[in-house]
Amino acid sequence: MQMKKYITWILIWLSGLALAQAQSPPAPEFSIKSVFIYNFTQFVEWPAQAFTGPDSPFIIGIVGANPFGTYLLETVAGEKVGSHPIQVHHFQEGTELKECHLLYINLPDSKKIKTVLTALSHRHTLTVGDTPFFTREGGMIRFFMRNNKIRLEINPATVRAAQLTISSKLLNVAEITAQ
Amino acid sequence: MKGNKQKTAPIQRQLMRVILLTSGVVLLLTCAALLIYEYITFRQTVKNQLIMLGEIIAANSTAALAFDSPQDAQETLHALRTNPHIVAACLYDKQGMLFATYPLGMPTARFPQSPQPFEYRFANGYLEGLRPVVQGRKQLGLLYLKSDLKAMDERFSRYTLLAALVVGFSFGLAYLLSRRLQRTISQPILALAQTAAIVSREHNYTVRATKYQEDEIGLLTDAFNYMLTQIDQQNTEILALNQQLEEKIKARTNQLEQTNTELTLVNSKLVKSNQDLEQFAYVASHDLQEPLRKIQTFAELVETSLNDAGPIQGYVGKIRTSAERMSALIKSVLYYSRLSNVDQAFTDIDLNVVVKHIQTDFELLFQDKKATLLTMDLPVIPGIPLQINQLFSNLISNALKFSDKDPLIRISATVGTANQLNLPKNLATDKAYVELVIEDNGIGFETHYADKIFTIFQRLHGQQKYPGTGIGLALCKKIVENHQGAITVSSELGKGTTFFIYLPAYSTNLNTTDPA
Repeated sequence: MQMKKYITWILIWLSGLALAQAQSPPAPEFSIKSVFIYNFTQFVEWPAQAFTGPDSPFIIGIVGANPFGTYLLETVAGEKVGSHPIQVHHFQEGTELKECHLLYINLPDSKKIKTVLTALSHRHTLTVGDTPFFTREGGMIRFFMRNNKIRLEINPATVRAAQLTISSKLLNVAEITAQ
Repeated sequence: MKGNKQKTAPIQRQLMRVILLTSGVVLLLTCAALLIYEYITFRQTVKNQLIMLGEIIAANSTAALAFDSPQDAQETLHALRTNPHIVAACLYDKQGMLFATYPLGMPTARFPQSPQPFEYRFANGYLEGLRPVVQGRKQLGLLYLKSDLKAMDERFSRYTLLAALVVGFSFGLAYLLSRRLQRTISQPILALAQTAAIVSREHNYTVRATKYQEDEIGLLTDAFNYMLTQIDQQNTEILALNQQLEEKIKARTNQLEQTNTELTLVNSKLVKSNQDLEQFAYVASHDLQEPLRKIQTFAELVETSLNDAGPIQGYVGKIRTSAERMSALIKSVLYYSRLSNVDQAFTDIDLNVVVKHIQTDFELLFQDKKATLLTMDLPVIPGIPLQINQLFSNLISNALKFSDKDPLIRISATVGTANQLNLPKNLATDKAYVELVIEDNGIGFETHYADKIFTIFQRLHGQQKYPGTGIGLALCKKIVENHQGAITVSSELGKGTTFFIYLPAYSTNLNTTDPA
C-alpha cells in the first residue's frame, strides 16, 4: 500500500513535471484558484455514497488543459477531505470521465462543457469553471474577476441537484446565480 | 418607659453596639465574600463570553479567509458593533497580514503587528486574545479580539451598589430589631438599676424591684429584693436598739443632771456653811468679845473695889447686862446656825394669820410707838411656819425699831408668774411667786448699804441708839433662801425702807390676784 502510494506520487510528480515542461508557466491567479479549489473541499459536504470506502481517495479532476501547473498538486499535497486523501486526476478532453468528486472544467466551448456536465449528471461531483456562463449552463461554481480579485459565483440549485451540501459560509462570500 | 425611648441607657447602647457590630461584621464579610466570588466568576464569564464570541467570529470568517474576501470578513467583524465593549478586532490571513479590521478606519498601527497567537488574557484594563481561525484542520488565519472591562466594571459597580444597599438595609433592620430586642435584656436591668437608685437616693428600703423573667436577671432581682427585705428588717432592729440606747442615755443623763444639781446644791450649802463658819469666827473674835471685855473690865473693877459696896452694885449690874447680851447673842447664833441645818416639813401658811399673831405679840410696842400696820388680803403659801413667823416678826420689829416718828407699816402681796413679776436674777422662772412688799416710813439708809444689811452682824448704827444683835436681817435672808425665795431692799435716808420678798406660791392663787 505504502509502496503503491509512493509510486503514484512519483508518477504524479513526473507527469506534473512533464506538463510543466510542455506548457508555458501558469498565470499567478491559478495559485489562488488552486487554494480556492482545495478550500471548496472544506466548505462542501459530499454524501457517504460518493466514496467507496473510508480510505478511498478524494479525487480532484481536471478536464481540458491543466492551467495550474504544479500549484494544485502542491496545494493538496498530503491533504485530506475527512479521512479521504486527495488525489488529482487529469482527464483528457473527450475521454471518459472516471469517478471524481470535484471537477475543474477548463473547456472553452459551451457545447463541450454541456457534454461534460450531462455526463456528470446523477453523480456527486462539484463542478468548477471559469467561463462567463458556466453557472447558468449547469455548472456549480464559477471563478470571475472583480476589482482585480477572484470572486465566486455559485448556483445552489445545481449543487443541491448533485446531493452536495454547500456551507452557507461559502454562499456568503459568493455571488448567487439568479434562477 | 417614655424616658427610655428618648434617651437610651448605657446598657442599652452597649447591647445595641454588640448586636450591630456583630451583624455589621457578618454582613460586611458576607457581602465582601460574595463580591469577591462575583468578581472572580464574572471575570471568568467575561473571558468565556469573549472566547465564545471569538469562536463564532472565527467560524464565520473562515470562508472569507479561505476565499480571500476581506469585505465579507469586514462584514462579519462589523457584527461586533452589537457588543459595545469590543474596542478592537481584526483578522490576519495565513501570511500574518491584516485582512480585516474593526472598527473600520482604525489605524493599523493599533493592532498587533507581528501576530503570535496567545490565549485570552487580562492586560492593562482590557481583555484580549489572538486565536487561530481554523477550518477543519487547516489554519486559515488569526483573529484578534480586544474588549474593555466596562461591562465587568458596570456589573461590578452595580453589584457593589446592590451589596451596599443590602448592607445598609440589613444594618437598618438590625438596628431596629436590636432596638426592640435588646429591651428584653435591658428592661429588667434598667428596672433593677432604677430601684437601686431610688434605694440609694432616698434610703427607702421598702421599694421592691419588678421581676420580668425567670432568668439570671430574675434571679438577681429576687436576690436584690431579698437583700432589701433584710436591710429593712435590720434597719428596724437598729432603729429600735438606737431608741432604746437613746432612752438609756437620756435616763443616765437625767440621773447625772440630778446628781449634779444635788452636788451643786450640796456644794453651795457647803460654801454657805463655810461662809457661816467664817462669820462665826468673826463673831467669836469681835462681837462676842465686846460683852466679854465689858465683863472682864467690870469684874476687875469689882475686884479693886471689893471694900466699897456702893459702886459694886452698879458694876455687877453692868456685868449681868453684858452676860445677858452675850447670852442673847449666842442664842441667836445658835438659832441662825440651826436654820441652815434643819429640814422641816412645808405646810400651808395663811400669811394673814401670821401677821395677825405678830401684831398681837407686839401689841404693847405698837401702843407705845403709836404705830399703824396696814395689810391687804395676803395669800396662803407653802412654808415652814416658825421660819415665816420669824421672818415677818423680824421685819416688823425692825420697822418699829428704826423709826423717828410714828411708824406706818404697809404690807401688800401680788401673786404672779415669773414673767409678770420683776424677779431677782437668781430665782427659778418656772413657777409662780408671791411678791410681798413691806414698806415703812422709818429712818431708812443710804442706797449703797442695800447689799450689806443682809450680812450677819452688820450694823449701820450704834448699839446705844438702836440696840440689836445685827443678826435679824441675816436671818430673814436665810429664811427666804430656805424657801427658794429672794429678798431685796430699797431705801431712802430719812424717808423709809421697802423690803421686797419673793416666795414660791401656789399657782391656784394666780387667777384671784391676776392684775389683768
